[in-house]
Amino acid sequence: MISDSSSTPGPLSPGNVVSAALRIYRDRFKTYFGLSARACLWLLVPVYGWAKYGMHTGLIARMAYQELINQPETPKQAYQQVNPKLWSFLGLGILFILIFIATYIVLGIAAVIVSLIVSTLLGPFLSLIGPSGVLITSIIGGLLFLAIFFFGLLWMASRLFLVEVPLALEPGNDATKSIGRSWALTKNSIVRIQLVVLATYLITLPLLLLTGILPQLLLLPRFEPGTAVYSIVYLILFAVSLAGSMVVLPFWQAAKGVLYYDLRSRREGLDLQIQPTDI
Amino acid sequence: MSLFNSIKIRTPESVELEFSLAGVGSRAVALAIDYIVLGIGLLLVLWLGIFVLFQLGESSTLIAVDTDTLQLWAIAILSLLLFGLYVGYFVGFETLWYGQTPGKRYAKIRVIRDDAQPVRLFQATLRAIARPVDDILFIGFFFILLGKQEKRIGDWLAGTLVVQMDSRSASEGIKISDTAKAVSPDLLDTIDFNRISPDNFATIREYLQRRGMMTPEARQNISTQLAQSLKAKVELEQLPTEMSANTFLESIYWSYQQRKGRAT
Repeated sequence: MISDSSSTPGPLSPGNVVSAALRIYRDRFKTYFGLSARACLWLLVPVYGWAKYGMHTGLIARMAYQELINQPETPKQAYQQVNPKLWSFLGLGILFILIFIATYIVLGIAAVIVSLIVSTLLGPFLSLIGPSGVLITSIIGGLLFLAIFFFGLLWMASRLFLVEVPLALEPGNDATKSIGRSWALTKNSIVRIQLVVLATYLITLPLLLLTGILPQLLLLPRFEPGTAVYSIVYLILFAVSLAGSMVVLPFWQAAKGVLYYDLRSRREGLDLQIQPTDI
Repeated sequence: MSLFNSIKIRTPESVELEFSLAGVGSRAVALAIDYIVLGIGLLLVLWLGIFVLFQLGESSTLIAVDTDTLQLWAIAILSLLLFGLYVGYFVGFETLWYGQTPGKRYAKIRVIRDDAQPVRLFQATLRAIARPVDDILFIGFFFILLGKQEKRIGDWLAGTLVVQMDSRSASEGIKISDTAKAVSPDLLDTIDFNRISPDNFATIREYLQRRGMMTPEARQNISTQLAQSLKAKVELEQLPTEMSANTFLESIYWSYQQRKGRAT
């Protein structure tokens, strides 16, 4: 069935991407949470488990997307589509990490060069002010260094935000093609993506604080490291934080599925169709 | 499955209006933007204040006034400014911009009263007073998430709702080329426009509004698809003159409106 343009929402504002993802997740909580729990447990198994984890994350994003275009799938149907690409998901994960290592190196070199150039250019002028000029020069140099790193990583993370979604949804895609697709779809949408990330993070923050950050900051230091009690508390806290991740993961994946839909509507007019036969 | 909660409101004039509620996502986006803008504003004021204080400390008297006294004044003014900015930001914007702040404007949401009237100083103030309470321990967040009307404590107190607004005006950002306008009379003569439903027309309008954001490839594909579907619908086998799919759609859009103009 081809969906009619009137029944799919079309491009969404960043806030509505997040709201829609939350709505889809809430309506299918049991299913998505089950998939997420399996994904997180697979993560504990090396190599094969990591591939399984990647596949499950793609699977959840796929289901959210299908929901949005009014062609919902059962986990089983989605699994049949995604499972043949199991090893591509592992490949994707490895590529993803390699790209980020390369980004770090390139950004590091760029940041050093730029901040050196700027401070050598500015230095002579600012030192005219007196000794505070040297301080100002190094502060400007340091800030530039941090800014290049921060915005560079933000930019790369935005461009690669959707990598697993095209792999899970588009037939015939392999790991490299999916990265290319994410790259193409996210062009000119960095701010939009970062707002989606920010809002999603804000919404998950209460849960993250409760299950992860606060217990580890407040509870753990009360026990002597190296003792049996410490290890038990540590294990319990680890389990609680893992449970927190299980709840949060589908929300992120649903947000990616919705964002994928949103960007495809914007960039490719996905929702614009006229049926020659309708009235 | 409807993605957003909606609410029906009966205005004092007994008109029933339906609004889509803002949703927790848009409110989070708006809040994040507002706090970033407000934070930058506070930092700037603070930085300026410290700069002034620093300068005053350098000299002992200024225009025959002891700088110690001036410094005290500067600190007092600075504190007032910071406090005023913090409190005034939300109250000021929501009052002057009919229920919007910079963040809400970006997120395309607006505060209205329960009876759909615009918010005034009174409601904006109540919302701002309750804001710290709502922010502590994410209380407001849970109220928005769990309540059917998505009201935080400040909204209950002030009797307000946060709703989505229809941002785009109907013809915003649509440019019709002269070629498309020129072929319009021909199309009006050959095509039965009654076969084009308002929904179809809306799709064409959407395409024309959004084509600028699309990739060239997608623009090509979608315009061809839409043009072919339309041609099939109006049973047009041969175009009156040769033109691109894009021009055809522009011309259909233009003619559809001209036709409406003729009818009335």
